Amino acid sequence: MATREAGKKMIMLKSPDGMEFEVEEAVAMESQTIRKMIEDDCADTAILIPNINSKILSRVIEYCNKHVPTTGATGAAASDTVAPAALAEDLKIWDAEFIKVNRATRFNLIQAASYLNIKGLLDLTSQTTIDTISDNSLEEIRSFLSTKNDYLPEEEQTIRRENQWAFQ
Amino acid sequence: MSASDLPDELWARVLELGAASAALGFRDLCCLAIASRRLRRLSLHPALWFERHKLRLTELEESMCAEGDRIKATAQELDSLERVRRASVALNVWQPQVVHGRQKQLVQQCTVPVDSRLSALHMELKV
Repeated sequence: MATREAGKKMIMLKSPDGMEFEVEEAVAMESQTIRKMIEDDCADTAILIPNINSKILSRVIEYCNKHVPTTGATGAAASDTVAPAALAEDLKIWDAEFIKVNRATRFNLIQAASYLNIKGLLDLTSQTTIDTISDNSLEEIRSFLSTKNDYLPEEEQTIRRENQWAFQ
Repeated sequence: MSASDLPDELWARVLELGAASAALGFRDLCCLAIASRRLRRLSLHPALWFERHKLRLTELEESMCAEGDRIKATAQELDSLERVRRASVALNVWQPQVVHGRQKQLVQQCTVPVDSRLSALHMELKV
């Protein structure tokens, strides 16, 4: 339900497990998917966010809350007092802390960021995943991605030979 | 949720970001290709390799520019050292005082041993 609180328009977000989150419209509009719904007047009642459970949705809202002042309507007021570079540095440190989550949560966050179309969060979660993959051994990559080696032995040998050049 | 639950298009986006930002190198892409059939299909996407090759090309162009600058600087140094060497030879023959003074000054200003530096620069240029 869209309500007003101290002059700020509030939006109700609902997770499939029945939890409701009241957030400022500006925060919710960090998500391009929700922004589109609001702009198309589809957000009079609570917005149901399918496939994103309350635990993940609360983390996403936490991210949007933190990021709204620099990109949203209140950004001008915030950057009047703090230098933009310092603000960006603070956000970077906050992001690094925010993304210290277990593997399952991180993949859930990638999916949520993609569905809600939050570029900053999608980039952050993707980059962290890439950092984990890069410069790791084959076994570490398999373990991190919970991937089983589904090649036949002779197939694997051929593929290893094909890709050998990159390891020299 | 595990990595295998992420749909292909999301994995493709993650990998593309990695390839475009240089975080994923050729070695990482090949490692992914060996890991499993699905990861091989994803990591062999032409767009990824295009991005990665584009980056490599930019790196090579930059290093070629830097190498070009180094060659120019070496050639310049070689040129001035050659002048010093010629002046030091000319000091041994008779010539008007003004010319002699100028050549002496040129030789004195040069603090490095001319011959060894000259051969070092010649070697550097050859490389």
